Amino acid sequence: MEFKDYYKILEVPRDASQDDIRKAYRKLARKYHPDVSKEADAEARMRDVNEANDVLRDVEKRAAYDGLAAGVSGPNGASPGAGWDRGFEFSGAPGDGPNQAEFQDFMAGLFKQAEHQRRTQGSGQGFDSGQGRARALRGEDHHADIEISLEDSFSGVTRDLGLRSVQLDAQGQPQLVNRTLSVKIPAGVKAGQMIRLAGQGMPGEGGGANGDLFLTVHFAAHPLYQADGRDLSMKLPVTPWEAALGGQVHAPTLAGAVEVNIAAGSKQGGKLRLRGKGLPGDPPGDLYLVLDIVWPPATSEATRAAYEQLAKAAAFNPRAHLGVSA
Amino acid sequence: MTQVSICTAVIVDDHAPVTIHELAQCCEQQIEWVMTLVEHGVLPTLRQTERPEGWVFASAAVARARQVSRLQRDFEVNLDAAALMADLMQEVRSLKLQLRGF
Repeated sequence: MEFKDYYKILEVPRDASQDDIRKAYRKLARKYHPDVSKEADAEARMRDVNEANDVLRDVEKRAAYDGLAAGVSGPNGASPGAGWDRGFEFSGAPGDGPNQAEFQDFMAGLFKQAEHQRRTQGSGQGFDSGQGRARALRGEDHHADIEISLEDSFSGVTRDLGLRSVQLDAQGQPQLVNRTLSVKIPAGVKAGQMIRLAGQGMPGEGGGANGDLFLTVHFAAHPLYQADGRDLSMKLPVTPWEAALGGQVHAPTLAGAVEVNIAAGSKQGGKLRLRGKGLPGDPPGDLYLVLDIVWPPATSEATRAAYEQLAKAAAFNPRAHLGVSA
Repeated sequence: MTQVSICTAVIVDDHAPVTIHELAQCCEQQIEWVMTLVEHGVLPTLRQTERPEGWVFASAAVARARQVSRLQRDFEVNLDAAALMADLMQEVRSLKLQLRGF
C-alpha cells in the first residue's frame, strides 16, 4: 500500500482551513462522483477523495494524520507525533516508525473501530438482528461488479472470479488471501440485477454465519443488440424495395437466425417485435427490430438508370411540408 | 495462498431478495434510514409486511438506495434532494440508452 497524501488528493495546502477543505471536497465530488462523472477512473478517484475528506474534515483525525505524516516523511523513520497511537494496536515494535502499510492499516483500523462503536451503540435502539444479544456475529456482505456478455445472460455461464480479501491468521495478523471463485451465473440475468453468492462474503465471528457476496451484473456493449431489461433491440437494415413492397428477410437473434416478414409500406424506424426472442426468463423478453432503410449507392450505370426511372415514376417531393418546391 | 471454490449464484430478485438489514448494511446506514426511504416513497419494496424485519427489496432498490446514500454523504444534501438527483440520473441513463441505440 502506498502512502496517500490526502492534501494532494484534495488539492489543498497543508494549512488549508476546514472551510477550504470542505469547498475543495465539494468541487472534486462534483468532478469525480461516479454517478455523474465522465472521467474514466472516476470511481477510484472518488474513493481517494472520500478517504481524504473523511480524515481531513474531522479535526481529530486530521491532527492524527498530520502527526503520522510528519513521522512518515521524517528522517530515518522518526517517531510519529505524540499520542497518535492511542486506542489501536500497532503491529510494529513500540517506538518504530510506521511503515506505509501499517500506516494505512492504522487509519483503516481507526475508522473501523469508530464504525464498530457506532453500530454497537445503534444496535440498542429499535430492533436488530440479535447482534447485540448474541456473541456470534454474521460476517459482512461484500459487493462487487461483474461484466458479462448478452450471450452469457442468454445461455448462462460459469465465470472464474479472482477475489482478494483480508483475513486474520492464527496470530490475529491480517493476511491477504487470494481465492478463485468459480461462479455459475444463471441464464436470464438482467443488467443492474444483483446475484447472491451465499456464504462468500466475510467470515462470521464466534460461530456466526459468513456474509454473502453480491455481484451487480453489467452487460458489455454488444455490437448488435441493446438491452432494456430482458428486451433487446437491434437495427435491421432493409432495402427500399423490401420496405416498400414487403417481403421476407433474415434477422439474427441470440438463438440463431430467423425469417421475418416485412410488411409492404414499412417506414424508416418502424419496429417489429419478435415475441420471446429476447433474454430468457418468466416471461422471456422480446426482440425489437428497428427498420433501417439502406439505399444502394448509384455507382453503376444500371443503378443510376434505376434511380432516374424511380425519380420520374415517383414524382415525390419530401420537402412539400416545408413549403418549398422540389 | 489460493483457494478455489465453486458456487452457484442466485438472482436476487427471483430467489433471494435482500432483507432490510442487508440493505442497511450495504449502504452503511441504519435500518431506520431505509424505513424513512420507504415511507417517503423513495424506495420500492418487493414485499412489505407490517414489521420492517419482513421487508425485502429487489436489485434495483439496492442500487437506488446505495446511490441515494452516496449522494447524501458526498454532497451533504437532504433525502429529498438526493432522491431527486437519483431520479434525474436515472432519466439521463435511460435517455443515453435510447440515444446509443438509434
